[in-house]
Amino acid sequence: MRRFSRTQRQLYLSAGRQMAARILSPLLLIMMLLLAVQWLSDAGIIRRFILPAPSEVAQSLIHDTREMKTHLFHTLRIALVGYFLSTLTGIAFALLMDRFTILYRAFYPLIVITQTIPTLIITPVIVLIFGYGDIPRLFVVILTCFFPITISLYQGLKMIDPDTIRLMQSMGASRREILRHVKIPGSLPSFFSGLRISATYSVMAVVLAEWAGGGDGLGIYMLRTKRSFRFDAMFASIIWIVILSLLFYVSALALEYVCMPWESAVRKEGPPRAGINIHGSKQPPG
Amino acid sequence: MADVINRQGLGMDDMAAGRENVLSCNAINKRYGDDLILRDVHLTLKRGEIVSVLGQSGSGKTTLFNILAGLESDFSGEVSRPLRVGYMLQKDLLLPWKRVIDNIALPLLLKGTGRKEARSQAGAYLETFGLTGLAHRYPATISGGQRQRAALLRTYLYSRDLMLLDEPFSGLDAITREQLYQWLLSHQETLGMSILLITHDIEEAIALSDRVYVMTQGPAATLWPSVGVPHDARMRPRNEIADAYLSEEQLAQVGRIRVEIRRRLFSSEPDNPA
Repeated sequence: MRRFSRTQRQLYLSAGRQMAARILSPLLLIMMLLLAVQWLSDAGIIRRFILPAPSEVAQSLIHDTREMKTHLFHTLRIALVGYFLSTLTGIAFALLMDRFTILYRAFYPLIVITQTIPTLIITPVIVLIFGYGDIPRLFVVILTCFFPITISLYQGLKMIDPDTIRLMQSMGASRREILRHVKIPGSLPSFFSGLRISATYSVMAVVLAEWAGGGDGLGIYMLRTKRSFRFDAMFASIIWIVILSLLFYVSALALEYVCMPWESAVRKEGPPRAGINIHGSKQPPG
Repeated sequence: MADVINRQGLGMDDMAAGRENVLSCNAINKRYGDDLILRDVHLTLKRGEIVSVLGQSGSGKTTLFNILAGLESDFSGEVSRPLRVGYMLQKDLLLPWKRVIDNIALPLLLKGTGRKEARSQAGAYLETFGLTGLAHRYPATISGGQRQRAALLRTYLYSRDLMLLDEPFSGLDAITREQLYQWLLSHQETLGMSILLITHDIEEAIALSDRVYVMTQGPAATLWPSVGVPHDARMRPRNEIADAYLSEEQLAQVGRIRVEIRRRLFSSEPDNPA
């Protein structure tokens, strides 16, 4: 067992309380909203064919799971692979643009333009080009997700303190060593903020792409239930989309936490304390 | 007056007098476009010496340092320096993502030493540099003085032959700074450090240096010939208790040095360049 001092224990306790508050307060708000909708629905103020009651959606979530499962996993798979590929593309683009300014000048406007095209409009065109199946869906995900990753990593790389780079140069570090010891770790905070944004986009992008084609997928299921006026099942699929997106987001957060241990070290070890080891253990100053 | 001070034996430390130069530069001129930044700069540093370059902000001290560190190659004149030159700035520039020990071991790693070996070599100095027990902490969790000493150790491990320190103490509070002065003076000899220090603080220059170069102001800066500071006068000007033990004569010496350095700082031309 680690032993904590009194203040440390208090610190840990209050950290636990903060954590609970952070998780509980949004949950409480969501519960209250759901209860309100349920009440409005029960009272007949909201018609059920317009907005299904939360209880019906919950029932559909439970009963239609088997029907939904194939669609769910299909969407998850495309989103995962697409997210992974866009991360790779984003990293590659950012590193290349950082290394070769000419590439930055050439590609940056084009990358911005790709983001201004409404996904809903371009998706059918992409499906026409690539045909039905997984490829166009992957393409849409990459198109949507690689932008935040590229831009955030690129900015992170550019924002490295030039003095640090000069210091590394003065110690004879090669370009590759500077990249490894300084630029990459230094740009991680910025990179991860992009990764988190993309995480919330990826599942949505797959669903959008699915709307333009056939086969399996939550988007397909959503359209089908909507056409047959099964609004409870449609909302159930929306909830699954939310859950999947949150999963992606939380995974990105967890990855960030694991990859940047120095960020949490300040919280764990406390702020710098003067008076410790100022003179070394054996040599008090004259 | 400079000549008087040098002739009176306040000049070079006797120990250093016989040693070889680790750094010498002759007639350095540096231009940015049409503007002459540095004009006819002469400077030497012997092994084991601490020498200060004193001047105002923007007078060209950092440009001179970049030339000496080999970060700037576009200049005229001769520089003879060791292969490796340690370089340290006011900002400690420790990498926040590396633990203290890995920050310190970085220059060894870059020289091609294996990670484990580099860590153990660096670890051997932790106690001397007052960093015992901090090896596995991240820089954000140690104090400013500790960070500065870690940065100093990193510079030392890169090159003890010549360490260029660009205002290394100016970001610290007065007490921490004084503790670092004491530490530096008591360890410099045993660690075999040769240090060229940039500072804008007259007291700091007198407190730490064997000799002080004053840089003239203005667009085409140059260096006055150096003023020597006798060993027993170092560190004294700031320390009132120690002042009590100084003889009248020694106090007068320190006073004269201070006056001379001031005079040079506020005059635009060296009367006897190099």
